[in-house]
Amino acid sequence: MELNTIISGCLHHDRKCQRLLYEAYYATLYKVCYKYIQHHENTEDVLHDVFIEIFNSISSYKYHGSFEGWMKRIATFKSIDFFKTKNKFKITDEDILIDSNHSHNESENFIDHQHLEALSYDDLMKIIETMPNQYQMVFCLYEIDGLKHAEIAEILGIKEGTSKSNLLRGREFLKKKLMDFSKINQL
Amino acid sequence: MKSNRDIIKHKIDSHEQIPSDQLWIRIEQTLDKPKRRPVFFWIWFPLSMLTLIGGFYLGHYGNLFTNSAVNQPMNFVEETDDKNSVKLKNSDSMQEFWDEEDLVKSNKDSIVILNNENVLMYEVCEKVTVLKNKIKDNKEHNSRSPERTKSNKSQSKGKIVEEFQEPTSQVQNEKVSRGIDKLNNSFGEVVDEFVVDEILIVEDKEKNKRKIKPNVQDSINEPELEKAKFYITPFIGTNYYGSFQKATLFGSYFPAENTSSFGSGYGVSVRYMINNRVGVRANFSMSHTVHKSSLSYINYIDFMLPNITNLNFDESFDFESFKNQFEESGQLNAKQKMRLLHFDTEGYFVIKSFNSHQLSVSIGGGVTTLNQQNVELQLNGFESFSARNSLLKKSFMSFNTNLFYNYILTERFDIEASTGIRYFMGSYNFTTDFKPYLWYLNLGLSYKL
Repeated sequence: MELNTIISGCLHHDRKCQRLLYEAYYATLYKVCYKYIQHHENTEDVLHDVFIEIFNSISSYKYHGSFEGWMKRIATFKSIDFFKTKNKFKITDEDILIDSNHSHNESENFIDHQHLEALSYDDLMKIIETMPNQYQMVFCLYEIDGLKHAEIAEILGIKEGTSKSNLLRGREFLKKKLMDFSKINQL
Repeated sequence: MKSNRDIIKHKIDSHEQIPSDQLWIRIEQTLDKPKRRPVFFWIWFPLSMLTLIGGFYLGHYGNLFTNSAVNQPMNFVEETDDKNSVKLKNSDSMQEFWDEEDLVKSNKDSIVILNNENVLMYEVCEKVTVLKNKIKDNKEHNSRSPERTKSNKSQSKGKIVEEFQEPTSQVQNEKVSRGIDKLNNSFGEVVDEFVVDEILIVEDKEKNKRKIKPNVQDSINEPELEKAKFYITPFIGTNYYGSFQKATLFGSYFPAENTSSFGSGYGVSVRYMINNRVGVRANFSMSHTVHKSSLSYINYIDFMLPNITNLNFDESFDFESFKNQFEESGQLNAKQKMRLLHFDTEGYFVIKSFNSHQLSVSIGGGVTTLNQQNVELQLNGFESFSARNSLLKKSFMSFNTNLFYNYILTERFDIEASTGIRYFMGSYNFTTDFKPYLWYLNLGLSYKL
């Protein structure tokens, strides 16, 4: 069944179409949520709210832009809200020490490809899970969701510079963990 | 060459995740939950609008005391538990209440307002006595106006009674009568009975106060007496329709059970108060009524529906089929909806008036016109069908009696709740002996013109 047909069916609260939509995008939206929540049951709780939101507000999708992108955005915001609520942390500009020696290198290749390629999905998720909260949020929004610093700053209510600093520290964390992981594998 | 981002995204995207059936069940349950109807909105919104409108009127008109109306002088008079008395708030009000200088100069006898067991009125009386003595001294000194013959003078604890001769002229009679009305209007139910000479109520427009003086002719014009009061009251309400019925069918009778449903009504009434107690009232109203009846087949004898009930059906109506269905069903239920227009005139009588409350009754009669009616007929187990009865009487006489409760909001507005019964005289169905009655409950807002 075509996506437009499924969307049209969901508009009319057709349960069959809703089920099809759920099965088609469950995996995609699960991954979006999990990278923030890092807990299966909690992820499913958030996913429940995400799909309810999608089905209830599907009429607001005006067929402009990607439907998957629209759903991912809902999932991202729901996950961020959950993350903030559960972790009760707040990224403030005071958390970030301005280190003039650090170069805010936003090069996309901050880690050796071979090490990164060797990493499995589960291992990658474990590393992200151990990342400090303030780095994890910015890292995921930037590296995985592809948002820009201006967008991240707006979502999290921080300055753009803070977003860049958090990303830098998140990358360094990942790099260090990856190095440790490689050393373990070499043993 | 792939970037780190591409690699991370690929790893995540390529990971398979099987949709959870349990999660879908939870989602389904949430979707199946009935949505709460916005009942609260449909309750609070009308109430809030009524509150806003009512608040506007009270705020705008609540303090609208004009000099032209003769009402209780609020500045220095307040009500007491005794319905026949008022109380002057403080001793200073005595000065406001009675202009001593004018009285002395007027060279007239003072007025005594009588009331039993009212100490404060005694103070008024006492003040009057002092003034009277001064006037008397002044008169004797100037040898001016002849004294009025006093028939009797007595004094008892708590009251001073002054009695004057009966008015000897028509003019005096009218003045006394108008004076009584003035006092009643000023103090409400304060004065029970008294005898006065002449009373003038002067309105000090500068100070917005009222003074009760003896008739000072000099430069004070007697104000016009209050005009008769007109009230206009739009109202809405509910009604219940019932009837006393005996049906004739080709010389035979079959009983019909009558029930009713609550209908609705609205209208406007105009009331003319001759005085504070008696008035007349004219009503124009419309009632939407629902009258239910049922006919048991066991009592059906040569039942010819169109002929007997004068119901007009569509051309497609199959009477034979209907008869068979009636026999199978055993019961015919009829719901008759009617729109009635009423015009009534009534005598209106105030039973009791206290503080801001008033209880009244009315009795009268009028004409009712049947404007429109549809009959919905239902056989148990079959679809319903509708018809029109075209041979009903259009107009018939009725008489009614009502009970009113008025709560005075402001000088011009009061809320009126009423209940009553209207009994229609004579049948309005040519073929049945049908004497209906209508019980109703109305709520309105009364405006004094």
